[in-house]
Amino acid sequence: MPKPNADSCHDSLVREHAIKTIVIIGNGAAANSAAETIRSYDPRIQVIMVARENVPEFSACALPDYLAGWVSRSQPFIKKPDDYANMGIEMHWGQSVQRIDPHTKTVATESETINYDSLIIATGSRAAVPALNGSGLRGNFVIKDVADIDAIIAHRPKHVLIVGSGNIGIEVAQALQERECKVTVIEQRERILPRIFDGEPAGRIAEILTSHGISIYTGESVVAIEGYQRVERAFTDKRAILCDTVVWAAGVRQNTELAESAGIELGKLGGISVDTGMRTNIASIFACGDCVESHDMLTGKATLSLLWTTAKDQGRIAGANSLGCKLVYPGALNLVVEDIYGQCAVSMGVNEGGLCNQDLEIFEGESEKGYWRLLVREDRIMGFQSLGITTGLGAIMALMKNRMPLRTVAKILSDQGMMRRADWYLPARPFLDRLKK
Amino acid sequence: MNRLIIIDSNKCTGCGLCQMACSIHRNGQCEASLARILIYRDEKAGIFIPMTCRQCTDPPCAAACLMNVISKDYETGITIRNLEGCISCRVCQVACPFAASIFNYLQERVENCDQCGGDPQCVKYCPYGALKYTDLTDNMDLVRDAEAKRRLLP
Ligand SMILES: Cc1cc2nc3c(=O)[nH]c(=O)nc-3n(C[C@H](O)[C@H](O)[C@H](O)COP(=O)(O)OP(=O)(O)OC[C@H]3O[C@@H](n4cnc5c(N)ncnc54)[C@H](O)[C@@H]3O)c2cc1C
Repeated sequence: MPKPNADSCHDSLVREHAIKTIVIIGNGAAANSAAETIRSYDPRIQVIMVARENVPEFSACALPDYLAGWVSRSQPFIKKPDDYANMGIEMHWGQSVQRIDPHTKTVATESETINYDSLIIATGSRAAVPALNGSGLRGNFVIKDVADIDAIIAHRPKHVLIVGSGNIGIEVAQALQERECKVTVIEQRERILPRIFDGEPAGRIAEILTSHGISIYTGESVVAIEGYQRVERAFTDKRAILCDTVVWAAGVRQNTELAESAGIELGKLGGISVDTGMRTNIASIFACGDCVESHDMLTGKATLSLLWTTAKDQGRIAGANSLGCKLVYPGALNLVVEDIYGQCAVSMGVNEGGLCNQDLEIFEGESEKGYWRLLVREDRIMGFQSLGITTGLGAIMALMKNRMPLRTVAKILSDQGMMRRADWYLPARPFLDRLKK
Repeated sequence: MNRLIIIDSNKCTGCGLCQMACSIHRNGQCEASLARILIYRDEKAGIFIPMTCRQCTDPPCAAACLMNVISKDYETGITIRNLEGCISCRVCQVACPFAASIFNYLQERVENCDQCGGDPQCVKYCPYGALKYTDLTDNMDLVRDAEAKRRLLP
């Protein structure tokens, strides 16, 4: 099988040979995916990455596992320092880009100015910490990189308050419980995992967490942190909680300041605005990953996906298009898999909140293995959530991605000959059979 | 891609020998759930359909992997995994349309069929010829199958 390259892989690929140097700002999932894509298309073009940090690429998704002690400190790293040079990528470590000048096509760091023909902005996001009384005290933490985990471990937490119950908050809660901390989770909305799950599955997940000793308070906000030199207690609008550690997992902010100051437009959700080719409003400048606002594959609406897979996908498109290709990003399709004390919790597509409950049909089911819930609109699957189930989900994902009308699925399932040909539907049958009216 | 395991489900009786061969050969233990090939069973209708990794050209498991451990071997066309890096988050399991990312509870890793490095044991032990290990260039069945699938998709 041939390796993909500039001439064989994509019909839509029209290289612009004037492009000699591509600069990528960032060293996260999006930046590295862009760099690898460029390399796979073109072994020679100059690729320069500029990153604030001095460590190679790591996966933030493994940070809770390291915090829990399930994996070693080195596990989250997915590149080695010399992988970059081996790929022929010039890595400028420990440098923060201060300014982008689209007129001279340069980026400036503290110590140098670099020319680009195409620029890819993959500056990602940071944890949001509100400016509350006491949120600067020793004992306040965020979780973004390996050093953050080192710092939490060194702090020897015992009573931990976690602010926010998104996937990061829930993973960190379990990780710290594993470290024998007393863990409390505060969620502003009425249920945990509000962006990812609907009420019923979220309730079931909350039950499992509380049965393992994690305290959860929903519909409450943290209003202040107090203590003499370090965190001693926190106040919500309803109660005071004794704690020596506060972990902020209440959402992230896009790192867009650099782009904004260069005249790059933002979207209404606050991310860098891009077209379906990951191009910004300024010629030759692309953006991808957590810092951008893209569109949802199923609803077509603007979204901040903030997921690893999305960052990689967008990086691939931005990388190819920075060479002059015309790849089109199909939109973000969310997929979140959580381990809840050994039970697999899955959410794909959009949840009820994301669909604004419009003309939605909801199908639910329960087997000895677990619970599932399918959201259908206009004869197409828009979302799926489950707890405890691991089989048949891939076919649902594929049906959702293909935007396959359910009447077509029904037709296939009722014809043995067709069914054998399209056998990949079959593991999802327990869910699909329920959709027959 | 050079060679691929091709499945003719009409010939499958659901005996499960392929799974035993896989599990013993790869894990030294005889257990269907450890096999990297599974059989979809509808006993009432008498339908048995073996499913395993299709070695996709652009694998969704690799695109989804949170640790970037899945890639293509461009020599053989096989989808390979660097299992050292796997944290068994199971995202690849959900991303695979063919249910072919298999959680191995002994290793606590998720695996896929790698065609036993060119000598697939499941094929060897299938008594009914439901599994074949074939050169893609001269396999008409596969071409027909692909055509049928295209027609089934809207
Ligand atoms: C604890 C945790 C758990 C997660 N778990 C999951 C999960 O289970 N599943 C999932 O899908 N997603 C998960 N995510 C989200 C996922 O990790 C992110 O979506 C992904 O890492 C985004 O990648 P990115 O490259 O866009 O941005 P980032 O990873 O934020 O990378 C941004 C890069 O830009 C650099 N940078 C920024 N500004 C500058 C500048 N001015 N100059 C130079 N360099 C700069 C930064 O140093 C960094 O290298 C998790 C995130 C966290 C924090």
